[in-house]
Amino acid sequence: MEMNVQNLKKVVNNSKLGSMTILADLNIRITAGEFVSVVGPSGCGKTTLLEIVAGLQEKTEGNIMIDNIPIDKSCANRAIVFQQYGLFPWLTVKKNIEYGPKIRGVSRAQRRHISRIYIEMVGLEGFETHYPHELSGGMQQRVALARAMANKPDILLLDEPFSALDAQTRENCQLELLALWRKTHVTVLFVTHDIGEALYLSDRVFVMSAHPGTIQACIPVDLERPRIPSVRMTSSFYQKEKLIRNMIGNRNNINENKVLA
Amino acid sequence: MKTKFWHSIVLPILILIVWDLFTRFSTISPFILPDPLSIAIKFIENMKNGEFFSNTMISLKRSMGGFLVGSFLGIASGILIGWSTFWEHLTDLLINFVRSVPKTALAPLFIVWFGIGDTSKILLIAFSSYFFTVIPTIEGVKNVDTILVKSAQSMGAGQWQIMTTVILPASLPSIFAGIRLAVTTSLLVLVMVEIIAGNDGLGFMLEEARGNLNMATMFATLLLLGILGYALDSFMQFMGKILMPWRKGKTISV
Repeated sequence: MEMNVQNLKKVVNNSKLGSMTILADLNIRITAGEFVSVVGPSGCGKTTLLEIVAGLQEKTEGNIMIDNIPIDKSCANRAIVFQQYGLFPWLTVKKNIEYGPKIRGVSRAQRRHISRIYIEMVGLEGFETHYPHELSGGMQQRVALARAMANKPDILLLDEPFSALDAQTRENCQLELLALWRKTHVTVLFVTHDIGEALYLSDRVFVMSAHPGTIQACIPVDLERPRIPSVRMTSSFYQKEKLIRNMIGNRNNINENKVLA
Repeated sequence: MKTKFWHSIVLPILILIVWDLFTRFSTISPFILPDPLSIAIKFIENMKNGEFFSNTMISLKRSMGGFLVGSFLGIASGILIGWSTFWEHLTDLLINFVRSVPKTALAPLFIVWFGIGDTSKILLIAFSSYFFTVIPTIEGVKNVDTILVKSAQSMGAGQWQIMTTVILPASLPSIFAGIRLAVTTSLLVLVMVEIIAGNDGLGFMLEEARGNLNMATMFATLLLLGILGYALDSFMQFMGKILMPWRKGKTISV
């Protein structure tokens, strides 16, 4: 599905700080089946953008259209995956994945079919009856991915999904996400502060600046697919990484250290 | 498990031995402290003649009746109050004020209003159970991780579905902590009201034993109350494990 964010604005009224503009004049267009990332310094409103698209926060102004139909409320056609997984600790892996379909009244047999497909897709066979706390962080995030995909979303929204994982696990999860994307042709909007990760995964990278959060640039990533980890060593990858790093650094000196760290 | 059991009964056995020796070799009157054996004999005697059974049933009916009514209302209203700031602001002062009044202090008032029969006893126990469950429920609901609510919302869950499939299970551990407190205190309040206004029940048995200076019966009744309280709490813990299987293996302090 194609998504179009037009002139998005978000103003928050805080009793202490008064009214604050979090996002302004924000425009993003994503074509169907595209993998797009948003990078930016911390506090630039990346998460707010994602939650507005997911329908979890209200926008102040602007339009969000999916296939030219404006959207407002939260709906299962935009599934979101959070950094902290957000799995229900009282449900097993299987029941977590079946949650969305169950909420929408999908029959038991059909639910079982769906969960089997996605458990297999993320490679968690044998863990169906485990509870989340019995799994490692990487496995939990794979459950969260499977749970989101079990809703057959038009757009998959990911909010720094791998930031809490160690480097090795993160790399595996990135590969799995790419494989999942290839199999399902879902449109992906991926938010991260890790420039390398954004370049490695995406077709295009949107660079955000802060105060107020808006799109500063859009960098096309013309690296061939399927991507392999060694692509990070190439000079064109490095050039792009440097370019984005400078953009974020120049516009936002205060946050430079955080971004480079 | 086995070593743990033996380990835990060392102290009670030691106390019994010292107690026995003390009653045997000191000049203390059995009207003050009877020896363990005569208490045990009295216990068995009361079990056999049905005295314990009938009074336990009467007492359980009161305490469980009050507990069930009070904790049901406590949980139901706690969810509502924890969920909506409107209800929270409306009830906050009232709940915290009434909660601060010792429940036992209301016994005389309840007796005047509802008589000395079962009604006043059950209502007083319900009243105390309500406050022991409503506060943990409110806290439990308020502390539900917002990320869980957002997850459910993003998958299309409506308000009612979020309430039943997220808020309720997520706050179950703290609700259960409240339930355990309520069960234990329901016995406490029960015995107190039966002592001050009763003609049957275990509390009355205590009071009657005092009147007759029947210390062995008094101790036997205390023993029974201990067993009852312990059994009720164990049952609640067992229910907690059944209802919250995902907590298994985690340290459970509910």
